[in-house]
Amino acid sequence: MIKDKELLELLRNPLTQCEGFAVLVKQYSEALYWKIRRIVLDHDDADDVLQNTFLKAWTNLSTFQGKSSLVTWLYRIAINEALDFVRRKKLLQQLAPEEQTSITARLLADDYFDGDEIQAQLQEAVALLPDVQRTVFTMKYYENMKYSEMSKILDTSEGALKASYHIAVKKITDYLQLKE
Amino acid sequence: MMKEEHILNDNLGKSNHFKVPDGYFDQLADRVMAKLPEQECPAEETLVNALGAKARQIDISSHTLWQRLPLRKIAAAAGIVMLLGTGIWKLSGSTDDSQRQYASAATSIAAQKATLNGSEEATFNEMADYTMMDNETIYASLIAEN
Repeated sequence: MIKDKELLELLRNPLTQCEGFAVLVKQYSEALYWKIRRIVLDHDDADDVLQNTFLKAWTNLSTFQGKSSLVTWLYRIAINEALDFVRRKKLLQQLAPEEQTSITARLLADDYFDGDEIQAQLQEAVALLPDVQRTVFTMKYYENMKYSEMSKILDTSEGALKASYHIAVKKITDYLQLKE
Repeated sequence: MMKEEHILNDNLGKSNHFKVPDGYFDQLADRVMAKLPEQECPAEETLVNALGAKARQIDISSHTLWQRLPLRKIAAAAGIVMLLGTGIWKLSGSTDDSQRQYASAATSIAAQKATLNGSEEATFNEMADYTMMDNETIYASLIAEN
């Protein structure tokens, strides 16, 4: 893996900028994809959002000031793009409510989802959470990301993120009616 | 870990049930780079160079400016310019205006195109193409000049 210092030298030189960006894409695309996929759920949607993420990153390269790491900056763009996508999709679905199928049903019919019904219901429970809780839950529960890292990506205090996570977990277990 | 999280983990685990098409990540970088504006980032050259750069684990910070200069390319490009200049000088004695104009126009077009491409490698390749000189001819000319 090429470190930020060397990558930034490539990216800041007009002669090597394209090569540097290609390395950036190769290095971080898979990690970004999964962050996006856990939010948008569908593979084709995740692919679209990922493409848009890198396009946005390319367009805004000159605005990257180096205050955060490159990966943090990319994660921030990716999550914002994923949440924007979900919001737009929700708005469109509200225009045609009779055509809606539940997230559980869609996932169970999806060739690129191999979970059972309870797993699909878990994803539905997560999808029903408000944006911040949804994002925090996916990053903490599935990726075991530290609150300090999340705080840099989401520009939210660690305390607020911890609270969001606890609320998210409670809501999900209530939704799934998982009680001892 | 909080109690509810334990319950969630015990009942559902943390396995990733999302899948991707075969070979998706292998082709992903190519597809992303192909979506960038073509005039800003030509797709083919970029991936080949990028993968080469990654394999070499370029340590750019340790290279001095002198080490970074592509001296051989600059020397070869200078040789080609000299040859073209000689050709134009010879043609300038010709009564055939069209030949003289063609030689200088070809050089000018090559230089402009390479400038637009924005790379010294493009300059070298463009000039070589326009003079229709192969590598052996170029090397022989450089040796003859010396």
